[in-house]
Amino acid sequence: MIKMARPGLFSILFISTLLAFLGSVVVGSSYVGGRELLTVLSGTADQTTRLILLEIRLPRALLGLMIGMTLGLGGAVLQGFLRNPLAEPGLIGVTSAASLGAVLTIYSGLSALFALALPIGGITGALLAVLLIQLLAGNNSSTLRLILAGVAVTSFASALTSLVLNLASNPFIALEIMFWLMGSLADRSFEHVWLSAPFMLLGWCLLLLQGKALDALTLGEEAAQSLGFNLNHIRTYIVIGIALSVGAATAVAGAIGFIGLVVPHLLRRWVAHKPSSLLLASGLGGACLTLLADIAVRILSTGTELKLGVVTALIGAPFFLLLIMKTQKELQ
Amino acid sequence: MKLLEARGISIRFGEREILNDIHFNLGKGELIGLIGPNGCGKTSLLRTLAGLLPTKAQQLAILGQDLAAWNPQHLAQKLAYLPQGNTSHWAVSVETLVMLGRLPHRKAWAARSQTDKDIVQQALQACDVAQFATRTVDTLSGGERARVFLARALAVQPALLLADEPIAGLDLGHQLDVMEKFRSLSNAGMGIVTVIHDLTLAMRYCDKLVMLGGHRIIAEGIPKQVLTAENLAQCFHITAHMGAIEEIDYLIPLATLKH
Amino acid sequence: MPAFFQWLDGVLCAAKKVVVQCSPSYLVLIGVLLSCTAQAKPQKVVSINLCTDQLLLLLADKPVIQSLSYLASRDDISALAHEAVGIRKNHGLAEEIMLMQPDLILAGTFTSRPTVFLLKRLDFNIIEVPVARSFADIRHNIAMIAKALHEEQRGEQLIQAFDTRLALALATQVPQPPVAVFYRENSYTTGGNTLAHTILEAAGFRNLAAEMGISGSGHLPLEALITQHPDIIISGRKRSPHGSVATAAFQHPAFQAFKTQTTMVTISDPLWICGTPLVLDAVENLLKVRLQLAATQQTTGQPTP
Repeated sequence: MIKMARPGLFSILFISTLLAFLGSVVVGSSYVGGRELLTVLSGTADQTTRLILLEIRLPRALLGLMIGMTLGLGGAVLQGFLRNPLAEPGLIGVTSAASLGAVLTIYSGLSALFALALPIGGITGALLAVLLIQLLAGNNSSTLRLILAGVAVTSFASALTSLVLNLASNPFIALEIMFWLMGSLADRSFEHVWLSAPFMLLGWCLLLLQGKALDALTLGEEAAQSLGFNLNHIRTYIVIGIALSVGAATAVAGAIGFIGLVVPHLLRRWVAHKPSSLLLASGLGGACLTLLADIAVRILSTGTELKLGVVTALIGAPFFLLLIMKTQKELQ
Repeated sequence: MKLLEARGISIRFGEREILNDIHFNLGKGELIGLIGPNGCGKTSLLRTLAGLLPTKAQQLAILGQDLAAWNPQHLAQKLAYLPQGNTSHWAVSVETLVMLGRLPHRKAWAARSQTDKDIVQQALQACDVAQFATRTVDTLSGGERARVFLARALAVQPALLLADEPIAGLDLGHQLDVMEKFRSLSNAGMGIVTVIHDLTLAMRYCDKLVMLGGHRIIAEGIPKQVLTAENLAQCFHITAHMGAIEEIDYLIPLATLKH
Repeated sequence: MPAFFQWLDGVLCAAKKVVVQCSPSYLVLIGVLLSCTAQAKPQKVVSINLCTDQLLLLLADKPVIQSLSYLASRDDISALAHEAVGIRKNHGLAEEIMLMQPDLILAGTFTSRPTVFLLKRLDFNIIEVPVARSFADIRHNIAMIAKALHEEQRGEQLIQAFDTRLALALATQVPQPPVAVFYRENSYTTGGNTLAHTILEAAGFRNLAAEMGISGSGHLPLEALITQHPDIIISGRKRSPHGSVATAAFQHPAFQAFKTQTTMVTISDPLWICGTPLVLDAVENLLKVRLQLAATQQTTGQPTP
């Protein structure tokens, strides 16, 4: 039964993600939609339609896909590694550090100079966070220490972000920072895609390679070690993988919450709780959910566009509560 | 060739000394019971022997090769470690769990082969758990669980098995089942070290006992030589009655000694 | 994935070729010349920033203005809200702006950064107008937008009128300028290097916040406000009649008591927010306040204790 369910699940996820991707290209504030997409594909579209579909909506959809994938995958990896269903990609401090890096470019005015200044600042922040976490967690495989290091980095970076907001002498800057922190994919271009894609792809590779180690960790750290896995190496790969992918995602889109927490939780039972099978499933699920949330952002917004991070949290939080209540009932 | 050879192992956690200058040998087909009071360092010794705790160079040889010279994956193909508690953090199916024992034999991206599946099937049958292969681990009883985790260790097809209290918490029937299983495995050539608290079963099934206490080995050798009144008094602070029924030795603790 | 983008690039290039081949080549040539030298006066102008909205309204003919930001007709923040009525509004999203096919886009340097970068990338003619902090900045911004609109003469006139009016205001200087302070919701104050500071100085006041070392926006503790005892306190126009946490400082008993010992002045917000010639309304209003203050001081001999 389980064996039959799995290929089914992956095709469902794959097709839904594809549909959500298409939806993300077709839905927008303007009239341009499915029919126009066909004209673009056949090469008969006018300049404006082509630009809207290929230069505004396509990069946005691609980023939604990649960022969702990153968050879903990152959440699944961290939950597997820490053996804790409440772990999420931001836990090790990467999200707040990337936010801080990005916010600093807004504060210093660098972000006004060229489009990539902000994401580059974000990625730099994420990479510095990794160094700090490795330094704090040391050559010690204890997961508790990793979590504590993550908490320390998160609170420090958040405090510095608040400090920057506090010091912002210009209300326009403060407003811009606030909006950025809410997370959004609006009007990102292919520049953002090209900048973030290599980091995310590299991060995905590092994370996807840990599937077997995560399976072994089902039995606990000692047993996993006795199965030939070096936990120090695995922790380092995971921390770097998360920093690269989640850092780059945060750098281009801001902090988008709940996807990395809810999606692995939701899909776990459908892959028979096997950590390695959850990775790809959760990645696809994350991509699908992020794309859908980003479509919802555009449909729900009349006038000022809602922020994606706000929408994912609005959908995610009640949903997550429901999930917790359901599991509790099952336990009783 | 010795499966395990430890020469002068000492274990400290910070300032706290656990074990001092332990020498230990395990031969092919040997079943050794590790006995001693709580906190005497049995688990630490077992973990050290499994290569999970750091040792100095030339202190521990596994299958004749120094620990440092082993590639971790190759070592994992030869040595199975069964930790205490039979923990599974996720509610995976029994088959999936037992398949984890095949991980050291698979390449990084390789899927499970037919051989893997056959070996898992054998391990499931050997531990009498094949009938609930598709059930999830969280639905099993304690006895079923213990057998499933043993099957996981057997799926490695190891040359030596290090088991930490494998029969703790099992009913008498399942305790006998597991010890019988160990006996037949060691008869087939596997070297087994097991931490065990039931001295009657230890006496009955183990080839050798190693008694730990006061940071060192109090006694080692064939069970009857180890479980003497003086040793029991020194190690466990008890007096005991020993006897035999139909050539099966038994030991009944009688009273604790107050100093 | 890279293959897909190569394909996409291919499609784009092919589409471009089709366009070029279909139209008579000389027409294309003229078109290119026209667009390259940018001699044509912009006919469809879009602004996505509250301040550029107002400068655009001052400098361009109405038919040319295709769209203004959605804030443009809010009379609590825009000084020209009235003029903006009836003009299409936008929310600063690349897609809606593209569809308007503007030949000139006006944006600020802080807001909607991703949109600005994306529109630039798509080769739209976009100018980014910096935040004005001084009268020189205002002149510069007017000239900048006027040039982009090909309304240099109008820009020139606007600047001249501005300078004449400003000179008049500056001429009424008195020695010993009184001390003023901005004190708003959340104990928010405005220090040096801001437009508000420039306005205050032009009206012949000293800015207490700037003298306390605050540059840009900052917070002024109620305690400091009372100890420093400014001659006038300038607050913005009251927004919510029921009050809010932000206005809590105004309800504070200490402030209520202090209020009676000083002069409270309210000046409509829109006049400060953006660097347009309308800031002179604020300067002139403040000037009146100062003259009144001087008159009271003459009659009582000393400033109010």
